[in-house]
Amino acid sequence: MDSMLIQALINGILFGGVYVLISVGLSLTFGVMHIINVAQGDLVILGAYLTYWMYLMHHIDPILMVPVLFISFFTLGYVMQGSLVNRLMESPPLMNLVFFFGFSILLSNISLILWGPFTRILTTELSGASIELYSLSIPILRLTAFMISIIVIVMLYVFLKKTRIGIAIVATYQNMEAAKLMGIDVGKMYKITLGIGFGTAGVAGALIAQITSFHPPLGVLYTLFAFFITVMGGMGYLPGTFIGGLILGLLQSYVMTYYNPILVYFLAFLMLYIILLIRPKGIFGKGV
Amino acid sequence: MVKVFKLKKTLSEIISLLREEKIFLYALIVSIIFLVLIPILKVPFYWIRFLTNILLWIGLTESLNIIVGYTGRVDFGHVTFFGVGAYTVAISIGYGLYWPIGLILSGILAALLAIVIGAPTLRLHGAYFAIATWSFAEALKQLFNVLRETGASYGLSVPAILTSTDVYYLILLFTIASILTNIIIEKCKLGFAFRAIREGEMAAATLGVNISKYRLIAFTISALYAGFLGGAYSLWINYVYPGDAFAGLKTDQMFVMLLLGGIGSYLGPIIGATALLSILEVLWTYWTEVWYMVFLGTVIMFIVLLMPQGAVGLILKRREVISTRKLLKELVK
Repeated sequence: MDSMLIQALINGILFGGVYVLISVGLSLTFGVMHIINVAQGDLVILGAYLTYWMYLMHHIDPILMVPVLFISFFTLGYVMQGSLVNRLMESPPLMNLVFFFGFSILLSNISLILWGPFTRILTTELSGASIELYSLSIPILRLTAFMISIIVIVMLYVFLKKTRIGIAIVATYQNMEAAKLMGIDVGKMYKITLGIGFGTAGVAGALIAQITSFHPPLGVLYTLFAFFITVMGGMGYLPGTFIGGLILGLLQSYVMTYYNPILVYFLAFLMLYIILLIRPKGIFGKGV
Repeated sequence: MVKVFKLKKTLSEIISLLREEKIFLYALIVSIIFLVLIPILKVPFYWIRFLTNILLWIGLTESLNIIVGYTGRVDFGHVTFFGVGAYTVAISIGYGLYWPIGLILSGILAALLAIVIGAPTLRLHGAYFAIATWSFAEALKQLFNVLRETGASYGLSVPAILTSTDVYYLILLFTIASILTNIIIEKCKLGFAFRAIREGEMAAATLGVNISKYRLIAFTISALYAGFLGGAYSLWINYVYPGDAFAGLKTDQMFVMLLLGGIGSYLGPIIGATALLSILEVLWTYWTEVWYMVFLGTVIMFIVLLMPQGAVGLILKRREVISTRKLLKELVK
């Protein structure tokens, strides 16, 4: 009983790390541009499918797909912001939201056309392997996914704190008008921000492909999961996503261990709704 | 007494409108008469089905327009009310209730749900409101997915009580009612408060408009129609399950139709729904549903980029963008 509890805790934390990675991009995009990328989950699923595909067709290791997907998704976001979304920045927020809504429908159905509605999971030689520790088992793939998530998040943090572009993005986040006056090319910062948002979703996709099964309609659920985490931590407040990810990971793992797995979605969305009502700025109250 | 007076005033406003916007309203009346006569003319069954579908979607999009178009809140979970309506009819008929009672209940329950969740949710703004309604809709869908009493994800079957002509008239009735509601909100003084809230909440509030009250009214009315149509839908399809009754796709489609036609105008949903479903009917023979969805997504993106005013904006060129000042003047009077 006790070890089951700890096992669920470990699983929750490991899953939570990947969830944090999904939501960091969403939170950053919202913080900097006040855009809600409702296609985040569909990008994750697309990344997962691409990883799956590459492994089956060319035996490319999923870990190798991490940088590949980051760069290609970053480019997609960068180009999309530059060519399409920047035009919408002046129009009412409704328009941005609906634009990404359309993008989400487009993406999930492209996945559906290319790969069909079947549930897939990427099995490699490491799939069943786990580290045994007393009576606990830590699946190696989940551990790697967790580690890579943390590495990517730390890299993002260093990028935002230490590099010139990163500082410029933070400045845009804090005060767009002032940043403009200081000579920061806000349009370019927007492009990079959406690029990072897309890129992290791609990386999360590559990680998720191995640790859980996926199919195109799951994209919407991942988007809502990402909302759960960002809202819980405060939209646009990056450190908050850690707590949000942890809560979701633990919720999922405990409900799956002790109750019905289908209940996870119901409870998560109900909690998201209630949190929005009682603390829309997140549990720390630091959201935008 | 005051209410009767207001009603009379509204009626006289509608009549004066008939004089002002002759073409559209006459066209509307003629098409309504035509639509009423259609089943008597013994048209093929296929056309009845096609028209029922178009009318259903016009009604749903009009109901979405009441909340999105006139109060500026993006309701991403509008399908909830449709689903609640559909399930209410299915469950109440299952308990042996006479179907009109079930149908009336479907609208009432949807409206009650809107009051219960609307009061706290409508305090949220912009994206927060969108996410809240969306998450609530998904939560409810997941709840029906696990509830054994309603057949979990398999759903419930509804006995086929009505003929397709009956359903056609039923949906026609609700749709006309929803269009009339939109016309009243858009053109008559009753609706000024709604539009004032959309154009400038603060300004409206300082002039004594009870914003939260009017917003809740709008939300409730829009839920009422969605609920009624949901109920009629389950009498038509004779089968409800969470994946269909609460499908996010339904909200998506309502938004496409609303955007395509134009937000904040009673004509928008009519144009949007008719255009989209007609295109679909033609494409259906060549395309599968997935390609249709790709088309839908692309259309949304391009409408937002190229014609945010919708088709109504393109046709009329003078789409009434009421300035806050003008509205406030009206309110002060």
